[in-house]
Amino acid sequence: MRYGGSQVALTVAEQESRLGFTLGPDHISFEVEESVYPLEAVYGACYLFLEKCFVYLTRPKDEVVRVRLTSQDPASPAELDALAGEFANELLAQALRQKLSASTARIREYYTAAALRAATAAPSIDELLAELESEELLEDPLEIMVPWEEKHGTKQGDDSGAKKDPKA
Amino acid sequence: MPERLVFDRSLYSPEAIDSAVALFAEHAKIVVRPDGGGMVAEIEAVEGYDPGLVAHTFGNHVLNGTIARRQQAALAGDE
Repeated sequence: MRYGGSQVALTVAEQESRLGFTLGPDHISFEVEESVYPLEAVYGACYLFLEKCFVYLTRPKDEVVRVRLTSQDPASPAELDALAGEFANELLAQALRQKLSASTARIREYYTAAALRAATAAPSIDELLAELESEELLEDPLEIMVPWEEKHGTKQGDDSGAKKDPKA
Repeated sequence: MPERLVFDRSLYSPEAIDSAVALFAEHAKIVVRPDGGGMVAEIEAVEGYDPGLVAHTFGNHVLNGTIARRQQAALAGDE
């Protein structure tokens, strides 16, 4: 791993960020206004970038966060621009996700509560067993438990009750 | 010359800084002191380690710890 030497610093300083961000040797920085992007959205985007680069936050003034992204390997201005652009897109996605999450919080709470209510209303196994035991299972109005012979009498000529061999 | 990082109190959790200092004890000598609205960490990497790399990695760990603590606090607040 190498950090910006003097030649790299000179090259980077000569070039400008296409996105208007501040470029430095192997790092790019920009300011984020909390009135536009809440701090939680900034953290959300930072969390996703911790494995890609080094992220450092400062507060130059109230309600403003300065984000500095430093590449883990030497990077060209175009690569740093791409990194910062990706971060900016993620920042927007995080802000939108949080806004949606906040606006649908009530309905999600309602569905969760409804699901929990349904789960608690469902009878437990013990309750089902107790219900079975309490039922009059011995009642047999259709006489299902009555043997055929008893119900309809035995067939004539079939005194043995043994099965006949169809080949005989 | 030690690397110097300033952690603003409104952005970084002091507990996350302490936790990262303990985690990096083998790799660097880190002195943390309060300074205005933040905490200043002076990081002196142990010989054999790249000072810049240690400082940047330390910064990432502090940020990761801060985010994790905020998420835990938010979850605890929801319960």
